[in-house]
Amino acid sequence: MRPAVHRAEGKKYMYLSDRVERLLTKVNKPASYMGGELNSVRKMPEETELYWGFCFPDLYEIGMSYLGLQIIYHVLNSCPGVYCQRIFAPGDDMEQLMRQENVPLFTVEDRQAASELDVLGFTLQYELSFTNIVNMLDLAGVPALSTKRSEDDPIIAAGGNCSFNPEPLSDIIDFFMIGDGEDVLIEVSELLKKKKKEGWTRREFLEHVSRIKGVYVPSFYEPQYGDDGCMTGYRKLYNSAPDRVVKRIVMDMDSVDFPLKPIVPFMETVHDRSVIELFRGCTRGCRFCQAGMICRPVRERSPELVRRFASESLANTGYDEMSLLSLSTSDYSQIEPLVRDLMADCKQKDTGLSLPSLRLDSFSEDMLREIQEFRKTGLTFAPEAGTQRLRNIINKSITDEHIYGAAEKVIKMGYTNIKLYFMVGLPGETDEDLDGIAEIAKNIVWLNKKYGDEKKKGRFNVTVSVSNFVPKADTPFQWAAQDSPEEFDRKHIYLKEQLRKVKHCSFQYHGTDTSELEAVLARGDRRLGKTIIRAWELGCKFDGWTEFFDFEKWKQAFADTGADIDFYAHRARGESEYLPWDIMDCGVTKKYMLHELHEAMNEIQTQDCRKGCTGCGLKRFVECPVYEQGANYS
Amino acid sequence: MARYLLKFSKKGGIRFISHLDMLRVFQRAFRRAGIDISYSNGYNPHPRIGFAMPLSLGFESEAEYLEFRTDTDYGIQQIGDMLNEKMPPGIEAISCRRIDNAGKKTAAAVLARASYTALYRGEDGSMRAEVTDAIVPFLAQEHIVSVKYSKKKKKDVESDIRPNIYSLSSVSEKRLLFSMMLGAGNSGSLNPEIMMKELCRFCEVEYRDYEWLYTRTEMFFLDGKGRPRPLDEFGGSLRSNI
Ligand code: SF4
Repeated sequence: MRPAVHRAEGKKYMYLSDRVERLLTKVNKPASYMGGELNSVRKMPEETELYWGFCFPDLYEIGMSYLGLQIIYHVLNSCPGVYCQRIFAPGDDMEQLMRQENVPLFTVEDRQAASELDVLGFTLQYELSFTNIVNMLDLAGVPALSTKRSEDDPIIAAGGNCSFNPEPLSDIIDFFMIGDGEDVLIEVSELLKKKKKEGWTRREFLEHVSRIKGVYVPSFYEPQYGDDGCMTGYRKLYNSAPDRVVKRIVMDMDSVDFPLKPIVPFMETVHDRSVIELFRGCTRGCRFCQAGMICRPVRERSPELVRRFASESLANTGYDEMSLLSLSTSDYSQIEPLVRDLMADCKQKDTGLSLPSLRLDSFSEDMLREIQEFRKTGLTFAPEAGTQRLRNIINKSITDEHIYGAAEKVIKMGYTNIKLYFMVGLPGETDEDLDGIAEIAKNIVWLNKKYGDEKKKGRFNVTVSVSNFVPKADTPFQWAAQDSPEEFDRKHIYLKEQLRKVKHCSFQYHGTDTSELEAVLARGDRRLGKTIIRAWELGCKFDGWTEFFDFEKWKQAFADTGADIDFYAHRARGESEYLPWDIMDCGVTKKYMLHELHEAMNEIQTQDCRKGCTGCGLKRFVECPVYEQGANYS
Repeated sequence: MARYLLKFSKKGGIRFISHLDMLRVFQRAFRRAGIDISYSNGYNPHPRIGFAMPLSLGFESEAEYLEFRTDTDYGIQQIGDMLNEKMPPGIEAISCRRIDNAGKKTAAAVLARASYTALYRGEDGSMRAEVTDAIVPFLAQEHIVSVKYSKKKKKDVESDIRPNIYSLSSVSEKRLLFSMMLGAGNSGSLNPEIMMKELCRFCEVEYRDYEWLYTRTEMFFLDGKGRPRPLDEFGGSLRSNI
């Protein structure tokens, strides 16, 4: 068992900063805990009414590469009277020392004990970080179960993509926020200030906060189950709580606040560069993609602003690389002129420009070369499925012509590395679709033989990287059963066998255990809260890291808490079944998702809604912007 | 082309920033300040910027040296001012000099000695006398063999550290504070922590690494007569105290 950390009480923790500093001499990456980074914020007690802890349930270097952290940090610290500090999951070596020396979880900025803050907000980016939340609360000395917490404990909040199905964490989190965070965080902060000033109880606060749009207070809803174990709905326990929680949407990307002075970590993180958010949302409608559904509608930032932000951010950080962020860069309505201008700006400042997931068709070779120059990875492509039929099912609009056209282009340009991403286990998949993957690899190798540079030909490599399909909430495939681990294994071996015969081709695939656990948690219900806590008790944490992931312990936790992996991961949901996340309105209607599922079964694609609305349901709440290609920009 | 030697101090929390990260801190600060560092010629150009000597993680320093070159001629005052404005807390520029006439060798190449202090910050000050009294017999040894595990060779490696100890003394009546001059640079280098560990082992006092704070106080090169001179005097005429 882990030694318990006792919660912070008054004077005893006055010297926390010194005690942390002592540990820093003994850990691997002291810079993760040190604070003091350029552009990080410190506030004095006199100017602070409300203490937020922004909790990232993974390591510092992961969290600091996440743009959402920088945005929220900036938004909260721009609020008068609000002081937002960062808290990360300590590395294993640090955690052991903290438990030995009874040092509680602390903030990076002031090394303040997390339990002394007014509110801790977790960001939920991936399901496999859930045990880290339990672990962090334990390190803070705060009870994991919301029912066990006292009036003195911080309020525990959460947001981020995984809160669109928050149920597995509903026993732990006091309230969730869904959708864009900018406005709701400010409204919640005002309410928290009031709570403090007027001495509201937790219950009183939760009643108030449940009336803010986009907020879900799980303790006000009791899940109901039928005899078959499936959910039948929720019983409301507090009358004024909303029947359904509607996600928040920030419409104007040109007036919303954006961090132009992001924190610059001392240590190397996943990405060391200035990142400007280009647009939110995606109109393509891939049927497996959760982000594509829950982040609608598309909202672009104007090119003039993107350029200005880029230059200010670079001047404020000193980075020598910049990047644009969105779900699919190429879809930006004025991507060509913008890239041309950014490229000129970057050249002048001797700065690299890195553009992830850029489609090649619209760029000249010269331009591509300049962008590619700074890209360490070479060309990447995500057809996701091996045949046109399966691509029709998943609504991925890439065609064979796109793939081969782009491959030919880069081969002729002299590139020797191409990476292809596919998924296996997609609904409707047969072995012919797997053959299709091998076929694509073969054809690209053939293109190299035909068009490749004589001198470089021999070095050519096409990498086929395969991930396992995980059905996600709020997607047309939310009803689908995930393949069994045995079936995944069979498909991996089958593909490996097919690709073994292809020269100049390497094959990568993911472990099935993590995919299975992800599938359980992504569509889990409230009963899994016990399983998560049990898994943590058994020693699970950092489940997303291969060196820590221990599926045997998880299986034990499922057994101990009477939860059935098959029920969650491998069971197709009935079309009329009540789903645990139906209480959340992500903007896209269930009716539309079901329609999309039927279209998928008929192998029919749905058009990109930039070309015309397909009626997903967003218009119930907002006017979807229409962007014309190349308009209004010179 | 202009060549500079910047002297700065590194104190407080920032002492946990590693050597490589420090280099990035400076490169970014130069970019923010709009100072363009020269690049070397050749197939794989690299920025012409480097420290005279790495500083161990957790050490403070009153005398770090950064040597760099620029294509544009910047005023010395300008560089110092810009840096002090753009550096994270804990790093302070002390002086910046033009060393265009310093010859072919870099500051790192001429470095021969470094001085340090070691301060005990733990709770058990009672062993002050023991450690202090041990200094004379400790230094009287002809050889002081230190054993270190080598990751490269995958085994313990012995080395004699005595030749790299040039002086060691206690400098406070009340506190456990020691001052020392040790070999540095290419001709033989010794980390003060290794020496203190050996001293503690010699007088059978337990050494706990987090109880000691090390500060580098100066770096030296040897003049024509073999006398140590602070790097502050290396190859330069134009001096500017910031
Ligand atoms: S309502 Fe229509 S235009 Fe708006 S996101 Fe949905 S499909 Fe696209």
